[in-house]
Amino acid sequence: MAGKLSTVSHAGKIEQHAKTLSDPVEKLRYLRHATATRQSRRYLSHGVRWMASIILIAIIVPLGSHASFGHQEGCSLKTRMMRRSRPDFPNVWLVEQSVQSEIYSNGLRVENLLAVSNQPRSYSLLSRGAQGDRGPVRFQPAGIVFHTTESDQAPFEARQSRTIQRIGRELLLYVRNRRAYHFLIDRFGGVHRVVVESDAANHAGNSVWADSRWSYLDLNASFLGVAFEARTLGDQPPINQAQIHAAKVLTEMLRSKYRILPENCVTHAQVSVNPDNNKVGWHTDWGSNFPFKDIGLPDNYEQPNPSLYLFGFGYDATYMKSTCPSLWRGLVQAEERVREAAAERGFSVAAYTKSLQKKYREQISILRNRSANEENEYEPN
Amino acid sequence: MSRTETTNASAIGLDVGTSRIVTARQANHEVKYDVQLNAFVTVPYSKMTEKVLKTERVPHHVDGNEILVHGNESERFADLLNKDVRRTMTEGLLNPDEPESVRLIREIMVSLSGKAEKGQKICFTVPAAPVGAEQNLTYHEVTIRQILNELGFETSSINEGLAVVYAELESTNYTGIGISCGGGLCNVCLAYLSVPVVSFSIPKAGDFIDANAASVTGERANRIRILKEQSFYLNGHFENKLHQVLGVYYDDMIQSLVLGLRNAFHGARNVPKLSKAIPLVLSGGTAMPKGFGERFEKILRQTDFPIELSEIRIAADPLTATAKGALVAALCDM
Repeated sequence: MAGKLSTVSHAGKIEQHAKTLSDPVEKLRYLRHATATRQSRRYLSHGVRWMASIILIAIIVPLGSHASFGHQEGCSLKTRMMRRSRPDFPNVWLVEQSVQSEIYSNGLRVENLLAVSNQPRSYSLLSRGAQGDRGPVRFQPAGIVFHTTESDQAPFEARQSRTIQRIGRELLLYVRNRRAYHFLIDRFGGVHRVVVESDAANHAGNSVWADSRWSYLDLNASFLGVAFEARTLGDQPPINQAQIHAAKVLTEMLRSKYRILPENCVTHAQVSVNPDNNKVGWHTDWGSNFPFKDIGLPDNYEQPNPSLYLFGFGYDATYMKSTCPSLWRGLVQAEERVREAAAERGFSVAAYTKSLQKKYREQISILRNRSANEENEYEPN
Repeated sequence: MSRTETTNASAIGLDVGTSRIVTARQANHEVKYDVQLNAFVTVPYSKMTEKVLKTERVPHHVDGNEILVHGNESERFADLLNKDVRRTMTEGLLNPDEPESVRLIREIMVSLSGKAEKGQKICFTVPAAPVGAEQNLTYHEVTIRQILNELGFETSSINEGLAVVYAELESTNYTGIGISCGGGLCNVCLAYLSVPVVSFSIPKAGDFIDANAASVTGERANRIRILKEQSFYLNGHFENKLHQVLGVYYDDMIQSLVLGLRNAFHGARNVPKLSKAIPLVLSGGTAMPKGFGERFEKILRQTDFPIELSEIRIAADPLTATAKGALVAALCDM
């Protein structure tokens, strides 16, 4: 019944060495260390990377989302007991699965044919406290960033169907080659898996977000990227009803599967930052008109922007032009938080903002050093 | 297996099961186990009853007009009062219909593990999500963790099926399938070199057998459980009506477990292709009746199970294997 072996590189060596260890605890300690190191390898052959990915998936499945842990911390047991009867997450399950597609209980269909792997997802949680202490490493997505592809568009008319399909197909191959998103929603509402969810995708660039407990830098690793095939033109909503429906059922599925908090479902314009000039909004897609309500989410534009009040970023007139009044309210609230925190500490706003910017640079530096160390550590022999 | 001696408890393995809570700790190069039923029963309050319970050192606490007797003694009292015991957990998770469940679990845990010494580590078991359902296990895990943190422990958690692998499959470098057949769930884990590759649970286990056998025979579920664990043999020859009914529902449960295993491993894209056959170990109170292993193997061998198995066996001590695995994991973290 067993097929051809597809194992972790050096599995034979690991097994051989493990067999020499007579103490069960020592053996387990060794195996955990050896397999963890192998799983983290950046430069794995394709087959081995597949194996590492599946092991990572398997590890994260029982863990649950740490974001939801954070959300509940500090609540009394009674409150939590009450929460159990009022779950915050949609209940969506996988109904049917094949190589080509997946069908979910809420009607979502995900096309899998072009799904591709990338670097396995792994990121350190950062405490929101003043020190920004590093929390545990997590492998499961904590949120969703919504994007627009800003790609070429044919008129959305029946006689253009073939052209729209062709352009969509070319776009899908383009974003696949670039590992640009986890999901792409085409103009007919088709949902395509691009990068597998166990891996990071190159969707967010320099980016910042935070929930009630943790802050997230580098959302490529910590958040899923969902892109709409769309182009922003003036004040017109760039997507149609089919895409809105697809986004709704996709978001429900992802929130159900990974216990993603609604406040961690945000747009690229909200999270994108430019560290060179300490301004938010390096990318401004979905700076306005994102249909949060239609997708079953609260209006997250109004959330205070964590880039401002946690890391001292500012904004400029271009950003204001590209964004909407409800997002501005989030900016104002964030500025208010900065003022309050500065006053509490006896700092001027400028001095406090500088200290936040310094914290960001330090955190980013730690993250980059970590990445560099991992890459050096996992260079093939 | 009651608590009889003070041990040098550097770490504790804790199996938080629907039916029982079991601790494992190392003492003089041996592993010592303590077991308490994860159940309680209420008796009407009177000063006399409370005094007797205190004198007899029966674990209890007073709640208004009632006295809640918990742990192993609850079974005796339930039998005495012709009641069914009540459960703090159902289907592997905290029972939302019992508002006192958290407090009672805490009491039972205190009676088993006591308060922590400084920096003492404890690893507790958590179920896997049932097949086909994205059940929220977070609340359960966080609550148990909080109880243990309040008792001063440094906590970690482990999937129940993986704990069985850690307890029983050291000889294969922790590669194989571990199954814990408990009260509420059957927890399954396929591990490869200690790494859990596939984990899931099947919500049909001992309680399913007890409840259905009780409804057919008119007996209380609690009594069915006692009889099942004391005198039932799954060998195809039944001494009485109860044994015959138990046999029917055991078969049903095993069929469901095997079908769940087959479907899960067939459907899972992340099952590795293994070069050699791997062992499968069954544990848990529901796997204790004689003949369970043989019956399970017979039914499994009749299906097109996609993984080649080198052996199918029952754990050395099915009731404590999960706690032992949790202890191994706790010691490994030290």
